[in-house]
Amino acid sequence: MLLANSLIVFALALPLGLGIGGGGIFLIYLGDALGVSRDSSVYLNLVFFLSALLASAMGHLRRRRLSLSMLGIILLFGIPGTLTGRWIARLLSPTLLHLFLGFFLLGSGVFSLISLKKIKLSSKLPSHSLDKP
Amino acid sequence: MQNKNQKRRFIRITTSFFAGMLNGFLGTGGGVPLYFLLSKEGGDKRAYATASVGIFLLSLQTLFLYRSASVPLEAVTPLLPFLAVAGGALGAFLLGKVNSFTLRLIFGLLLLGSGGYTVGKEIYLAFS
Repeated sequence: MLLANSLIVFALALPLGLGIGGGGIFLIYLGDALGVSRDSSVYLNLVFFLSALLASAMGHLRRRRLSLSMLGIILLFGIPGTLTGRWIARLLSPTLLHLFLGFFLLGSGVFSLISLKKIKLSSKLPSHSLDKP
Repeated sequence: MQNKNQKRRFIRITTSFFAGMLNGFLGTGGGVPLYFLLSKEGGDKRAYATASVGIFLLSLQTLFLYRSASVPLEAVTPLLPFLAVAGGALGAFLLGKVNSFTLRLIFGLLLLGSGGYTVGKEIYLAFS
């Protein structure tokens, strides 16, 4: 089980580093496969998510490819947003939260596949920084 | 012109708040609405970098909020942070070097599968 978990952690961190995403799937794995409680799953998922993004975040900071004014707005209004989200999560049952997560993953999947169409249509000109050299 | 700037500011504020709320509510996510907003304003690489770092910092805040639910890493693997760093670093290294189309397709299908499984399971349990 330890080996399987290790492989899954490594495998799911790859798309995060590539900018494709992946945090939500690990959350499902923690709850359904490992039986970890909801809040503890979120905690472990965040440890995983932050660790996986560390390299790319440091790279962006080093290359200074950021809009600092926008980053300031994200933090100034995003932090109260996280507090609100956490407060709402406390009001809902784990079942309902799980359902919301499921719909979120469905939406992310649909969005991801729709964005493929853009990449396919503009195959000569990359439509996303992931495809640019 | 002033109305346009005010409208843009309002959209930035509400999108940032919504991204934070999503992150605090689900414990994941928030990057997509941010990237979507920023890429519309131009500068694809900059949008991606800013959204990425923004979500990283918001997730730090969310981790702090969930600190009371902390469990030993042995619940998954004691090497969790190191494996995640290694996987993420490899992904970042491969960025721009691999054709992301196939990876995105596989991952999109994986997301659909996981989401469908989760929703289906909860609905089934609710009615059984």
